[in-house]
Amino acid sequence: MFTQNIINNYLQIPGIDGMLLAMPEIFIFCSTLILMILDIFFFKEKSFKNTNKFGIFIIIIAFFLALLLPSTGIAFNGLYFVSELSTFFKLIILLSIFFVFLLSHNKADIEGIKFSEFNFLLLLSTCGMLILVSSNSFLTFFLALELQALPIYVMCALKKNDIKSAEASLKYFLLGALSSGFILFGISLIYGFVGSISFEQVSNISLKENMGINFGLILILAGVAFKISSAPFHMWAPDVYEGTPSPITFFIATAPKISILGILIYLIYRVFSGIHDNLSDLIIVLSLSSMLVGSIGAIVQKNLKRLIAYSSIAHMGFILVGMVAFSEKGLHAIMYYLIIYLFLLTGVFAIILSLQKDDKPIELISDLKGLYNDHPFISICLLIFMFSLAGIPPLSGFFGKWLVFFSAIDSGFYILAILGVLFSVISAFYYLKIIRVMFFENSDTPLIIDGNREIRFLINLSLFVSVLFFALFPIFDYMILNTKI
Amino acid sequence: MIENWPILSILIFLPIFGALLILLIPSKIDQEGKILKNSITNIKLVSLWTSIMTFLMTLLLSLKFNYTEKQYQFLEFYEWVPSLGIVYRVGLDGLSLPFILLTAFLVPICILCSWNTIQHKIKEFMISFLILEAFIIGMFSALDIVVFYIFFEAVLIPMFLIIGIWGGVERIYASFKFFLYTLLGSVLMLIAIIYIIDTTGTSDLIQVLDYDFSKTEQLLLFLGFFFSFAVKVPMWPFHTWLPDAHVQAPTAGSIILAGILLKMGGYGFLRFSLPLFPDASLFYQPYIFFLSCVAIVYTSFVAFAQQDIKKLIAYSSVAHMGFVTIGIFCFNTQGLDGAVFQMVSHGIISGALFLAIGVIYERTHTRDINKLGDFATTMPKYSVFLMFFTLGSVGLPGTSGFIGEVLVLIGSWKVNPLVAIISGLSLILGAIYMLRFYRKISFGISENQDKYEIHDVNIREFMILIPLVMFIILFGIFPNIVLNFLKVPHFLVLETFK
Repeated sequence: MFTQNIINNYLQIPGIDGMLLAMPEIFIFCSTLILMILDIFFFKEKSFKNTNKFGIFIIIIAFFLALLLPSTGIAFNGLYFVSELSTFFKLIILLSIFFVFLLSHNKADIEGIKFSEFNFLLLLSTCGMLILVSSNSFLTFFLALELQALPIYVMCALKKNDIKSAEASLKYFLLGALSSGFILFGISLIYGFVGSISFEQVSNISLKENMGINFGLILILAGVAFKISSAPFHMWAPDVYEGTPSPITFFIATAPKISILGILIYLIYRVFSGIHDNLSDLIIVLSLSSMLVGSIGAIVQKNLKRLIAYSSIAHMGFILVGMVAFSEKGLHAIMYYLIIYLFLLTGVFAIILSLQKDDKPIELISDLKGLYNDHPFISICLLIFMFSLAGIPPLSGFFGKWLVFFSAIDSGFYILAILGVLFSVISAFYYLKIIRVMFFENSDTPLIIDGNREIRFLINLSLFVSVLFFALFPIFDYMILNTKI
Repeated sequence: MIENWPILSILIFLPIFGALLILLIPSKIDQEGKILKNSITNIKLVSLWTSIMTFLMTLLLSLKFNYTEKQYQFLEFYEWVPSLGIVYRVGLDGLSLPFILLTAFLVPICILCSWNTIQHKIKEFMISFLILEAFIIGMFSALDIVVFYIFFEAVLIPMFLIIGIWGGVERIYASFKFFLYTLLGSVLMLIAIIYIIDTTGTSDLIQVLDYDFSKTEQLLLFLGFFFSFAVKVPMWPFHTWLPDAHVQAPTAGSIILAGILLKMGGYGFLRFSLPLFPDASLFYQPYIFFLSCVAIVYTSFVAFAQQDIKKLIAYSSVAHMGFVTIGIFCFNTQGLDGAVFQMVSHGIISGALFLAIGVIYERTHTRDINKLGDFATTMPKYSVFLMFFTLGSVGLPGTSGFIGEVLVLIGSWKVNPLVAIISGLSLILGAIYMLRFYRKISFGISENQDKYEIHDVNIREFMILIPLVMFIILFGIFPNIVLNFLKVPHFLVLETFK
């Protein structure tokens, strides 16, 4: 197994030098605090817009800090760990946060979230995510998990007067707290049986026969499965997606899931690498049930964002297929899939945000009726995103699907791969349904398009990536293959 | 200098280039909100010229083609994703060139026949059609399994839109059925392809052909490919998407569907299933004979009962493709030659029949066989054309339909006389329903013919129908034009069985 003994290859960086490793997080945290003070004293009228712009700058700078600082190693007495893989996840997370900022920039007004708190909470949550993918002990892991989750609960409730938003927030908070409880209980079991919360200590102990550790791991896996909305822990996703304003939905659908997947990969490949066989069965169950629920559940949906919620459950199932085998191929497949999926969701949400009907954001699938007659370009973009999500070549989604199933077949999980592709055919049905509504049907009330520069940029960027992914493939190939865990 | 050009890639991407040009044509809108006639004409002309240029280029390729060369010709090779062993490799042999010629020949005809029938979204129609052409040509020339799969599936996107946007009343149902059926078939092929790449370490067809799969592997992988090709052919009982798709598609869509898309299945069998899995092919031979015989007899009866003339032709297509699968799985020269010849000839004849139905439909707006009739007096020229197509479909000696069927019958007699007898007898069934169709359309009494303003074929339709008739007769008299291409590839295919 290629994951063995990696942990010893990294350098322990003692003392204050370790700060350099955590530079992006430290930078985001400090500048967020400064931004809050600035906001109170200086940005009176344009509070939201200004903080949003500063937020974009902070994210860009953090992105380059993460990219350019030549840092791998273990810091803060083994609490903190930076590898090329965690840097990869940080970059993806920062990219998605950048997209969230752009999406919300001019749309906060109509979505009812025009509070500067939105930006602060977003930045704090980002900070939590970055720490999460770098955590090297269960203490850091849990603290970072809560730091990323708590701001999200508040963000869901930002639209104060909306009953659905309140419901979504409450649901998300209660279930999220429950899952955090599961994770904490699992951690305490593991601590009890190993006697340490450090990932290194846990990974050095022979885990196979130890019932307590297995049980603790199952609890952690359940909690994590909740956070990535994998079935059977998916119940919150449709309601939360439906209730929250679109920029926040996009945020919930991407960044936290990416960060938790990042740490899940880290846990499975490094910390619990001794008990692959037990884990593998569990992940197969999670993956298959996610694909089943996601593809069957979405068929009957009428609300656009509920449909996206179910589709994201199905996609999470596909991503987990890559994790089943614990192979290098699977890891690379997940990395590809996350990039592809991030760009596709960005495009879809940018289009949803740019469309309005009767001065309100669109909600139902039937609101898209006749989109093609009014706005050909937008509808062709959405068409391409839908075909891509369905995994039809030569669009980007196909390559994600293909790599994931490649990794499964490579490790001998034939039945899983066959079931997976069959579910992908079922899920193609509801993507086609959206295309049907846009292209084959007509409507009386025209849709109004209110796209600004940022949103147009995002649509074009996503279009570029999903159509020309086959040409970008060799470049990504080079990037991802050279990433060390 | 031209020797070194990537001539095949230029051919594949020329239609896409044309589609981009069409995209750039501004659609100016007049006061009534309609697109100006000027730009519509531009769009039509650009797409027509692009498709004609493509056809001329394929003619150029076939002139430079060496019939006796055993290697693939016009080979192009670029590294694509080295870590996964995927290469962009395209090339031609005698098997793929006839299909590419057929594609490039039918697309200008499709564009001409939808000159006036497509009233709305003409720009999008032409773009979809040209992209479709590019994907099909790419699929026929791909020599890498992954590249093949990508083109094979990508064809679904424009075809789905062509049926769904410009189709008939129940177009949504038909387009969904078409898309999901074919997708379901081809995802299983995806699994098989992934397995092949995983075991051989490459997706380059030339290298994969050297690899010997074990018997069990062959049996399973064959099934993976079989489902996808069987849906495309379509073989009984996977054919139910075809009548719906044909009936609802616009005329041009039907032509391309019957003329080329169905051939992707047969081509796939010849290109992949037979050479890669010879043992499995021999093992499954009786089952495929059974399915094909059922298809021929059963769909002939079903075709006889149809009221909708487009559905009638659709079912007859299933029967004719039954001959193709029998011919392919005979594993002898006559069978293989007959199968490919039958595919080419069926591509022309069924395309011509759908075109002819489109001509009537434009004038009468009905496809109900009971409401049509007496075209021999109202449209005499048209009736003559229709006669040629009908007789070609029946398989009269002297038309191209005859050669394919006879070769398949000879081939199957050598392997299994019972199959030859069943399929030979069912030629009579084909004659029954096609002649009934022709009698009713041309000489029958129509109930409400007076309602329609009927004029005979105009110059544009004449120009489309003439080459079709010419080729049906030409191939019937000089079958070697096609068969010459096939000598070497069929020899090579049969060598794997020895």
